[in-house]
Amino acid sequence: MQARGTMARVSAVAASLLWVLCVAPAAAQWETSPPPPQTGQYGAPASPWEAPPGHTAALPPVQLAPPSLLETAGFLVQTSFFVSSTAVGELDGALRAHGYRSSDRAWGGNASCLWRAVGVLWLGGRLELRARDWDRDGGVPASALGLSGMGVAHLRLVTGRSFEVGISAGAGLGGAGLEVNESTEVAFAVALHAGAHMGMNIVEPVRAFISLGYDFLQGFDFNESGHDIDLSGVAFAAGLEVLQ
Amino acid sequence: MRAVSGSHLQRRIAWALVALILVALACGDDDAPQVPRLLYEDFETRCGDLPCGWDQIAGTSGQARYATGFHAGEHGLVLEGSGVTARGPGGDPMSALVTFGGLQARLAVRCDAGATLVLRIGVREVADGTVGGLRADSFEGRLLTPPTTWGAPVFVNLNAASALADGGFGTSAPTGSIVIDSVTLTKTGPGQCVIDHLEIDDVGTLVVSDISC
Repeated sequence: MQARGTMARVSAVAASLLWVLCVAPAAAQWETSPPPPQTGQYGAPASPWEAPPGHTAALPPVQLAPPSLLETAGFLVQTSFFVSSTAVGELDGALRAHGYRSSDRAWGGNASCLWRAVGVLWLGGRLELRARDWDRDGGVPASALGLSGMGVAHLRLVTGRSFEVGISAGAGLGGAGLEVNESTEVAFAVALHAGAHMGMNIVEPVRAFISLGYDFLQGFDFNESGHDIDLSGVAFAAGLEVLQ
Repeated sequence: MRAVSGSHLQRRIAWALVALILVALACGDDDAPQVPRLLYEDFETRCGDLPCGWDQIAGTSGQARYATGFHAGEHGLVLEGSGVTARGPGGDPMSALVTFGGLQARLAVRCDAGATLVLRIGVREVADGTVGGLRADSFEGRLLTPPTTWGAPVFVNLNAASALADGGFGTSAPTGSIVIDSVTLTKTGPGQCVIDHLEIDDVGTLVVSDISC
């Protein structure tokens, strides 16, 4: 059962890499780009009145497209919402014994601020909220909530004037709580993140992006049996970001 | 084949993303199957020092009590020391059709090492919507090595313990509607046992339902 779960996670990560490596560059080829200028012998626009060899008259400046905001921005704010698979642990077994059903999905949202450190490397911080619940036949569901703050790093590669792909990683700390019958117990939590994303312009400076990654958020030893509140899983996210 | 411009492609991808998110959000939990249970006891209500509906019938006073279970929001029946017996049920007993003549209990339980737990239930036949007194029987199950930490559900098969003079269920494998009359929990051995949750039903029906998309 554990091996199957691991395989599923590995497959999901592989699929995300395939997405980033294959689908995004292919999509970028559809981008409209200006046709290459027809240049003459000296780089000036082609003309039937080509200047003779040795002529040194000043040439008109070549009109270049201005760099996109994607290439010049130094700061961005982003927010996203996600759905995630869930990890099955001893806590799930204990909750099943108490009449709760299994929980196969987590969800949440996050907000990040990132600064361009150098070139394609962006650094920043992220606040994230994650939740999952366990329904109970004829009763109040149990729910887990995790809040984490982490430092994140993005590598962002521009693949066209409006497309971008990248990978991200982060680590941080937080807390996780489990509410059962309107009573909550909390635990210290560790948060880790690794993923890949693809973004595209909507209307400058607003961009949309999707990401696929694995997030680890686990609150440790909240009860005498040493149960962990696990909110980890493979997450698919969609969000918006604003560049400046 | 018609060429797709860059802006059209972007719009299509954006709509595809929106559709993906909607599908993911719509992927909800299925309704739980309505399982007819003979007993569903969560020990959450307290009457004095014991869960409501439960009495201590053997052992010294205070050996059975109400306490917090695996979480501050979950409560249970604690049986402390050896030779203590508590009798219920506290939950509302329900009648159900028994199709195999065998019963099963599902517990959330944690005991100290060396403790054993015996679960015995008395049942009566339900005929024409009323609880009859003609056919009665008792079923018993033993938990010789109960778990020492809170974990997965513990299943205990309850076998016919006595064939009463009136020709109770224990003498055959009947199909009929029965109702639980009494539940007794007896603990022996050192330390304590905490029973947080107890369900009793026909064998094979206390299956945990899965959630699907």
